[in-house]
Amino acid sequence: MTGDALAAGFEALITGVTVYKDKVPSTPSFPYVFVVTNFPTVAERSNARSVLARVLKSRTQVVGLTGASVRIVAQKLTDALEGKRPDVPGWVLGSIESVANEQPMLPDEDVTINGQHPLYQPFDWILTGSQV
Amino acid sequence: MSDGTAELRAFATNLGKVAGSAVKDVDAVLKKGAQNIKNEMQADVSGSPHFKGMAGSITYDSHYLPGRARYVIGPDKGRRGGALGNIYYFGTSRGGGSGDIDKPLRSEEPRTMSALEALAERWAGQL
Repeated sequence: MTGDALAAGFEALITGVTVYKDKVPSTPSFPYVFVVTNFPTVAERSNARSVLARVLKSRTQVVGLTGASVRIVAQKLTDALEGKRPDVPGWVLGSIESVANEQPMLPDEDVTINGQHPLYQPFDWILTGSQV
Repeated sequence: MSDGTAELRAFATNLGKVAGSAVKDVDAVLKKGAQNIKNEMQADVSGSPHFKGMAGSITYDSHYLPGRARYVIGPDKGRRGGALGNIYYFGTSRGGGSGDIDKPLRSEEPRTMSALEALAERWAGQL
């Protein structure tokens, strides 16, 4: 029933793709999803100031060597997360929602693999819930 | 004795006056809000040891359409350091993205909403 358990439950939904959590290794396997999930912060309080709801925010970077691979992995990621409701003991949870960030797919010019720059696109997610 | 026609004409005249200045009034509120958001974005990035050089690239532009006022705020890629904006806010293929692009908007929202409510009350008093 901790915030860490909630984050772990969220990240466990991302399957079927290579996932790196918190840190990307020096020689990653492409394509991949890099995920960083925050501790759930307070989203709503009662009049007596007790915590009613918390919101978990997560950012996923979908990274590939081609635009097509980014789009394919992004689809898998979306299928795994959008609208899903993880089952985490101690929490009553809503559905995961993507948050529009309007950030386009871009080349990472600081990284070169076989003479080309990998492409990446960030996707942001939120999940609201209450501890029981 | 009145049949209400004179009152209706006066109401329509006042409504026309309010409508005529509405976009301008709303624009003034939004412009102030855009300025505040820009200032907070600049202050936030100025506190970053790696990205403070892009603070001057954060600007706002107005986009007007008939009956509508809109502002776009953020790093301008045409200015020095502006190309770092997406890295500061969204990271790279290896993570990062320490800037919170929503924070200045969250700070400003109550102020702008309050100013718009005051504007609506002023309009109501003119009818």
